[in-house]
Amino acid sequence: MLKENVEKLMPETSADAVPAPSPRELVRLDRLCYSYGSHQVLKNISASFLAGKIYAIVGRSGAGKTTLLSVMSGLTDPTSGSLYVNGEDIRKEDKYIYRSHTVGVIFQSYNLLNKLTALENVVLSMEISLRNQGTHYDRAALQEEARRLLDRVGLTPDEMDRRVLKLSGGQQQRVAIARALACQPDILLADEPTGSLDQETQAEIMTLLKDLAREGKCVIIVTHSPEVAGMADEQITLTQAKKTA
Amino acid sequence: MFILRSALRNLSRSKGRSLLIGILITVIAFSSCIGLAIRQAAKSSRAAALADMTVTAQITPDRTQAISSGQKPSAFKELSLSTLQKYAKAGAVKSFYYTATASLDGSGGLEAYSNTSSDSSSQSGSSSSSSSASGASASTGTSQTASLTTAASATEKGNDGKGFPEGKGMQMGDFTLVGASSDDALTDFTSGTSKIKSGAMFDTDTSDLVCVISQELASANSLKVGSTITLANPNSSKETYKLKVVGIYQNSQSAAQAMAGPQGMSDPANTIYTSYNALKKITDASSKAASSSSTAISSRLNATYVVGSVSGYNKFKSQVKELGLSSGYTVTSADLTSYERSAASLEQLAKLAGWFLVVILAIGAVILVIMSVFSTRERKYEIGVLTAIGMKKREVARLFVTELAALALCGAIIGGGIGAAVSKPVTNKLLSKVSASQVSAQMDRQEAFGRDSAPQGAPGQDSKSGTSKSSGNGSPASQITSITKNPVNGYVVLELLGACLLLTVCAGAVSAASILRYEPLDILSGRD
Repeated sequence: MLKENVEKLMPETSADAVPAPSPRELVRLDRLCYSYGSHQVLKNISASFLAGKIYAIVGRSGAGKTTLLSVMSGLTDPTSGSLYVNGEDIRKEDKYIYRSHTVGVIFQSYNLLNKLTALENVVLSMEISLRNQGTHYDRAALQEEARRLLDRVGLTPDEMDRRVLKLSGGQQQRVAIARALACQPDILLADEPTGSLDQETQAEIMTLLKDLAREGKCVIIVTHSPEVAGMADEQITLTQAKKTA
Repeated sequence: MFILRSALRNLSRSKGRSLLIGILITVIAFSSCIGLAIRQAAKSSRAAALADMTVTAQITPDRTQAISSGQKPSAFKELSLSTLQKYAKAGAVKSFYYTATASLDGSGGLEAYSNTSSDSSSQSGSSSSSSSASGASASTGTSQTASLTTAASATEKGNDGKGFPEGKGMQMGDFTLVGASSDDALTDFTSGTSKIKSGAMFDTDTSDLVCVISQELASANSLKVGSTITLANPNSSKETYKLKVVGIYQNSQSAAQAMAGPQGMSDPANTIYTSYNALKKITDASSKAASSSSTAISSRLNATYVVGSVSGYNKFKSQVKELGLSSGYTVTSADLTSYERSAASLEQLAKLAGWFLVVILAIGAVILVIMSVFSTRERKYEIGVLTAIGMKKREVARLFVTELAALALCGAIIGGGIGAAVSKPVTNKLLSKVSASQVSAQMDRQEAFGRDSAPQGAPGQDSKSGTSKSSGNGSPASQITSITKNPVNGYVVLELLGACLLLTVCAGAVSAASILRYEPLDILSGRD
């Protein structure tokens, strides 16, 4: 899917024309570039990501893996080029709705709110998503749904009501996954989801992510781990602002 | 609801921080409440005192204008009774009364009363150095209540300067004879300072030569109701007038109080009351009998217009101008002057409270803003996470401001509650201290002049000392040294909430500005 010279694969289009997505294509990167000041991190990245697959983005440190994930998660805009999600250029979308509804992000350091319980973290994410969409909701129903999600990622009811600081790293990672799933996104972005976990927990988390992909979600993982990359359907290697399939 | 619920949850999960900010706001609210309460006490006490006060007015020559225009004060003639009565027709006037006061000597063995040996020796002569011309409503002690003299024909004899302000040409006697036009004019009796102990008050419309005398004078001369006393023209001991005693009164005011004024008036026990018509009969007869007008018994006329309220007083001032009062005369109110003096302690306290409030709010705002800045920086990670998962920055700002507002409300309730509980005793304590310092300053001034150190304006001192008590009822001549009602009312509560809201807005604005500046990627990647 990913080619070294993406420009050759892309049809000749005018600058304003929006490429039509294939039926299963959820994300398309079109000549995407990103720079920190004068330092260009990503250069002409073009790729597409399909629903129901797990992608592993690998590469050496500084290759721009996390930056690419930040652009795809809507935390920052590309310097040039475009990012299409479900055929829409996300520049034209409300970033808050995009982040709270379209994509679910599992951060490397979990980024949970430590003063809240596991359940509250997940419910909060749901509430933010629904509020951004202007949808009325029943808090009790949200709590029920959050418990179901936490149960699915392997947390016991007791752990659900515990503050996240009192949970282990693996449990916190599960809460982060549950929170990412809270808004029922089509795309799941994960930055080193198994980075600080033992082998057993790592395998469990990867099994969980595979299950999610089988349900039709597009799972994109940034990882250093060859084991994790090996479990992905496709690997993408970023090298000095270039990519190889 | 989401924001409020989240804010309350955050507050409960961060007890240390919440407690610190809450205590700070409580202290600010408490201090503000005290300041506001003191200010409110001053306002409400002033309003209540003015509402309760029956304001009276007098028309006097405008000496200030006369002096500034280079004219002698005597250039303005005193107004006659008929002229004064014309102004009583002004719409604002509710009632009008007047007294005439004359100074006479005793005759036929009638001795003036004195409670000091020095005074006794001074009374051996036909005149006294402590002569008085101040009657119940004679208000000669202040420039604004200067009396009107219908005739000033007596020659000066033995006047050492302590007599009438206009003492030139007037002979002082041992007794003060006050002729009242009506019961209202007998303000010592209407205010309760004097009370009839035996006999009865004369009819103020009578022209009969009847009078009431003090208990002390009656005892000193073995007089009873039904006795007759003889008074003489100080300039002619042969010119005498007999008055029948129809009542004996008791005066609760001491001589020291009465004599403490700048003019050093005579012992109040030597004041004899009669009707205005009777006194006029005496002065008319004296004018006919005297060899010249300068030796006739003179009297001083004091007219009082009861106008009720401050607005009535202001109306009266404009109405008398319409009725033709010359610019050489001015309308004054001894009640208002006396009230302003008595309310000075509260005014001073209100000013102090105002500055205290400003300082507290300024310091509180600075501290709260600094705390808010540090708190926001400390919670930067939380801000980054919330915005990363899709919460809008303005909603995060609202969340933080709501947390602050909730703390401010709690602080206002607790601090305001404690402040309300202690505001009354604190106000009274401060008030008594301010009042005491004012009284002390007045006493020092009196002592510096070698006078009795009882201060002007002190309770019970005002009537005959010349510090004016011309109101028929309830002149607020005493210092306001305490408040009876708790000054924390709905208005103060609103002001307190407003102050807390102001602090919240200040601190919240700084916090919100920081939040809007933060970018989630910078925070979560550790670049900020």
